[in-house]
Amino acid sequence: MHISEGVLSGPVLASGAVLAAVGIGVGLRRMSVASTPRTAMLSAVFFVGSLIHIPFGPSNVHLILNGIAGILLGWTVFPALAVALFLQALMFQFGGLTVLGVNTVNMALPGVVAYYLFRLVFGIARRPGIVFGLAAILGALTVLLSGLMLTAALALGGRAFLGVAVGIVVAHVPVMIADGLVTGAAALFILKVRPDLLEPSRPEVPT
Amino acid sequence: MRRCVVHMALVWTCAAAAAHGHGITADRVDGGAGVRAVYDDGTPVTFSEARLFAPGKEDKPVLTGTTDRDGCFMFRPDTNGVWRVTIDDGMGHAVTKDLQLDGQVIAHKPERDRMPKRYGIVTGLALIFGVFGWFAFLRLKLSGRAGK
Repeated sequence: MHISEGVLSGPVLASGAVLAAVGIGVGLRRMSVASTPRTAMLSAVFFVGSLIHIPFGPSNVHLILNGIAGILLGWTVFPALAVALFLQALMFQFGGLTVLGVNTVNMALPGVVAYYLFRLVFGIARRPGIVFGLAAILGALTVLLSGLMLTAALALGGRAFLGVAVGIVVAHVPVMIADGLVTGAAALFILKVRPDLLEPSRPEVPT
Repeated sequence: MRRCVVHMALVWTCAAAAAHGHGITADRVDGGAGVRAVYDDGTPVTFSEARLFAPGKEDKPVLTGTTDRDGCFMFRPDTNGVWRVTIDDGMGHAVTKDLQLDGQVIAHKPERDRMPKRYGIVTGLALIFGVFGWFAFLRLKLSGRAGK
């Protein structure tokens, strides 16, 4: 899911950097001292989770886990994923420094969408089965959204949207399933041990 | 009439003999060069778009094709210099490799040593917690100053 160096055009890279900077700014403003350990933990989960690869057809996909990060962090997912992506680019040559902004937006923005959708439904129904199903669907949905945003970025670079979209979505079906199951299981576990973390009434990040 | 027929037959025979140039043959050629692209877990980048740029002509590829099932893309260079190969799997993953050819022999540049993955993971995790720890420290310090 990481876009490599040299694939995108300058305007796309600049737009991604600006959007990522805005997202990181909003995230940092909402990140309190109390929520910093959780942000660091989910950043670490994303950092390591992306190293678990699944060969699929001619390509190669990996766990993303931006769904669970988004559900638990809200806007703070932006700085969390930006730090993880920066270190992945530095240490493993995943993506790159010039595409850091685009990659951050592609991964973090669907997480923010998942956060608001989760809050919306969790406020109405919170039975364990529903929480698992909801988190699993949102985990898969974030991967799908990230794939579509990746496709849009590639299309802005001059590639045929439909052809690339079909390839990317098909290639990420195993990741959607895996991410969905992991996100659902994590949400279920959190519901049992720390349900306050999922409360929609809580401030986005407690101070 | 008979002379005309004989003349036509001779012309036909000569033309047919000269027409062997339309045939096609193939011989083995040695001295190729190439690259092999793999993902970071070692899986080959198979059947992906590959483009070859000749030395000094980085604006337009001289050869396009796809990697094979092992992730290899081979070509036969006809001049010395730096040949550039780019491989793109069409899903946002791309790699560029420069091959320095000197007398049809690839002069391998020493590769930059990569950190082993396990060390990278440990270092990355330490840096993540370090970065956010510093952020929390600075926040506390700033809020302490504001409170005074």
